[in-house]
Amino acid sequence: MVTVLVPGPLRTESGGASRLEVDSGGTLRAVLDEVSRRWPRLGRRLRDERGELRRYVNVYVDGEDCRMLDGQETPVPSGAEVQVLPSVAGGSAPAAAAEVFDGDRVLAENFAPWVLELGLSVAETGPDWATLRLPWSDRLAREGGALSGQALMAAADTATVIAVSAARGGFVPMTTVQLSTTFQRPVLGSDVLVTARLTKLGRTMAFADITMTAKGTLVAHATTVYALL
Amino acid sequence: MTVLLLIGTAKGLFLARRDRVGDAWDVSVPQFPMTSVYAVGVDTRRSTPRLLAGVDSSHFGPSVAVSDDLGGCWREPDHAPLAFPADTDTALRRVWAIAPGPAAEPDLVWAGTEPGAVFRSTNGGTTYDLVRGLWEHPHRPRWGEGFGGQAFHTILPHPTDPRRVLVAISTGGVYRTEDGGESWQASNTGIQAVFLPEPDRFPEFGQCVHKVARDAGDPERLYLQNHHGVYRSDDDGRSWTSIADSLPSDFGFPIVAHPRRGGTVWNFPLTADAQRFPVDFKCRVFRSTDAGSTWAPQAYGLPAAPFYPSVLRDAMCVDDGDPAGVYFGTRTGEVYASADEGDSWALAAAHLPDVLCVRAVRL
Repeated sequence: MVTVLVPGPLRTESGGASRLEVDSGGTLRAVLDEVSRRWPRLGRRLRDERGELRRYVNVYVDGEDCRMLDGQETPVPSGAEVQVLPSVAGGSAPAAAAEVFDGDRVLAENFAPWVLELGLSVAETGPDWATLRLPWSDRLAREGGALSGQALMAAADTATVIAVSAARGGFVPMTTVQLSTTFQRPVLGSDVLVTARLTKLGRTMAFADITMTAKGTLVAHATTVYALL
Repeated sequence: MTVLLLIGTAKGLFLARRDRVGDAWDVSVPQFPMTSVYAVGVDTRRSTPRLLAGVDSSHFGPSVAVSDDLGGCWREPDHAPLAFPADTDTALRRVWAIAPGPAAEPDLVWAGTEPGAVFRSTNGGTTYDLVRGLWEHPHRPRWGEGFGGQAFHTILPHPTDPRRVLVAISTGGVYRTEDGGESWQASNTGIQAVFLPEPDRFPEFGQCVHKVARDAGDPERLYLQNHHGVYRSDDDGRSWTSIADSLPSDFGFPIVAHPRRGGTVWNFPLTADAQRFPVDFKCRVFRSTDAGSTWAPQAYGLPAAPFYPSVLRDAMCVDDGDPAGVYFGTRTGEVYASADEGDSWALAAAHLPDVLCVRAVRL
């Protein structure tokens, strides 16, 4: 015996019953076939004439969404509970499995070639921050041998984009509105870690605070304001 | 004389009634709430008109319901009243048209669907069978779809010859049968497809026809609102000529013929495909009383302020009164009614969901 739970809007099709006891077990398809045989009007609200589950009807077998299991081939053991629920709204697709945020990919796909030539890589990202590594290169050094401020500013700017993208779960179009940098110590021959923290992420604006360190020492500090497009 | 107005919307079917011109309309609560009602039919071949409604729920799918007490209660069969046969491997998405057949066959009802197919009922619209002759037409794989989806939205049974039916699909164009639905021929001679490159703008089929109406006086005469183009046929749809010259725009969706008097027809022009607003942002219905040779605006009583909503292909209708009532509904949920063939208008209902279709009958 399997129990089928009927949602409120469909109880007119089950004689008002919220729980149906169905003999047939085996697979979800067999259960729904039996539902269709005994309550045909309920059955056709759940599946179309090809026998496919309607797009915005969700069916849970003992609490698990059948679409995350084997669909209608999902085994339904005796005693199981099959719950029918309309999805939150016609129009909302079933939630996709959350994708892992890939900062290096955002970096590779969204920046000008000369920025990519800085050799930046994403060291780590969090819910509202990102740390990028700017590797030392003689090509980035100015007269006197220290790292150019222009390279640090570009790195700070880029780190903000990665931090916003990390917070949003993927790249979103945006543009820099303001970037203010203080250069506090020279960098000589070492990589710089650039950490952008979002101090506020709004619907259309993002604010970030960026620290740049070399060998554990602060070398530059920046603040940015971004418009999210 | 009481008028019953059926208003299909994106969130259910509203029934509006009034007993006398000048009375306020009594508008019901929504029936089939939270379903889209793209098609309603009124079958006046019975002593009490039968109402038919194509309803579809975004969650629980489409169906067709029937009422024999003017909307007091609705019924539908246990098994799907209208479904694609198993061998087609196709599922019904929506019913777009419900058309009672000619008087000689009082139980014949046609339905047009998305995906594009025509169905036929021989029990008064309770259950339907796929019209295979059209489903298996060699053109079918090349029919396209308009912005609203691919659907047979127009079905015009010939009033005296039950073997003849004209149907139209967006996009595909007009098709005709002369043998009751066994075989179908594309019938788009003279109709333009502006979205195709020159010199292929007059193809055998593929036109985006928006709506077709049949003349009341001469059943061989038809009026057609195209995706750019307004046409008339005087040979039951075999060929078409433009009647758009005196309209402010040849774009729009509905076209409706007078219920009895030949040569009279209404439409609601929009500026253009890419400018789907009433021409000059004015709420105006256009009427021709000479079969489309000349058209004149009718706006007395309609809003004077800039007006932006459009009127969908089935959201304009006439009743069968004398003088004829004319009705239209907007995507912003207003319904306007005229009891004098469009000469003057008044608001019948407001603040409804998007109006998808209207049909009216005098009781």
